[in-house]
Amino acid sequence: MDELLNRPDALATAQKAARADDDALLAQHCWEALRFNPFNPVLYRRATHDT
Amino acid sequence: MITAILNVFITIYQRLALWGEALVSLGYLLFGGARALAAGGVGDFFLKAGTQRRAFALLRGLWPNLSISRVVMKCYDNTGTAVVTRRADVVDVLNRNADFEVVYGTRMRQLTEGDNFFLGMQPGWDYTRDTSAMRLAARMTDVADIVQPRATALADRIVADSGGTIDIVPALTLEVPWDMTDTYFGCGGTREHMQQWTTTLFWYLFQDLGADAEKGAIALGQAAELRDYLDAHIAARKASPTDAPDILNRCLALQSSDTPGMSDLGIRNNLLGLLSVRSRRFPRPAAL
Repeated sequence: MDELLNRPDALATAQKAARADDDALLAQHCWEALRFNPFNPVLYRRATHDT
Repeated sequence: MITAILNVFITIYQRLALWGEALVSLGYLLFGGARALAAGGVGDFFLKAGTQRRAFALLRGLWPNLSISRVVMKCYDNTGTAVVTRRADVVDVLNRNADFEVVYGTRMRQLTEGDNFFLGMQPGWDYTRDTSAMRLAARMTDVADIVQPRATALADRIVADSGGTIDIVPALTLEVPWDMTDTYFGCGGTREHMQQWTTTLFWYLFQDLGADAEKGAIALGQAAELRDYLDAHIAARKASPTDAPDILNRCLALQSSDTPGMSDLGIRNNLLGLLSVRSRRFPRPAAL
């Protein structure tokens, strides 16, 4: 929501998609917004030996 | 031949773009950081997603694999941290399971007070047993057949009943996931407790990077409460069976056919793990 609110044009097209019941287009907006602020931006792994 | 020549220019362009992006990011971080420092908000500046994207752009260009030889992530057993920033290297790390293990096993065992959950397992028999059984219990077709129709109907009803104004988090985005816990997982308990337990356990597994002792104790206490709830709930369901097409009933059906990993304890640990790692839709509880 933060990322869409920061981008009025994208928010407008997301709202338009929602009102048109176009779930696929709305989902594209959501996934694109998540790229700017992923919930979990770092993936952790443990190296089992020196690399 | 033409492709080979073209690749030379493409590689030069990509490298220059990488360095250019790094330099722009360095300027952004220096200027923005100085301004934030003057305004007294440097911590907030570096916590912003936009700032972190710039920091990673800088690393990609100048220090693509930054090694830190002291313990930064205190929640995992380690002697240092390497920050891997370029896509090809990240994919390489994620593909080399034997060299780079998943880190969640230790804390997952604390939450279950015993066995691991498949998210914290390396490839092997335990992982295959649990993921195979749970894929039978939580079927691929459930999303289209159960989850989406239920969530859509519930969301439509909540929006229709809102009268044009809605407090979206408590009314909609907390309610629908909890309803899924209750109706699809078959073990919702009370909304308040389930939200608190699962949100806290998610935080403990994934976000407690500094290993906060006080909050960690709260998390382990709530894990015990969730274990007790699930143990009692599974026993109650077995004593009074239902025919609901939920995950718990399917696990019990697998148990009755002697499917490996589907003892009462195995079912409880798989449910506890699933509930904990799916709770990202809930906000952080006030206690934390």
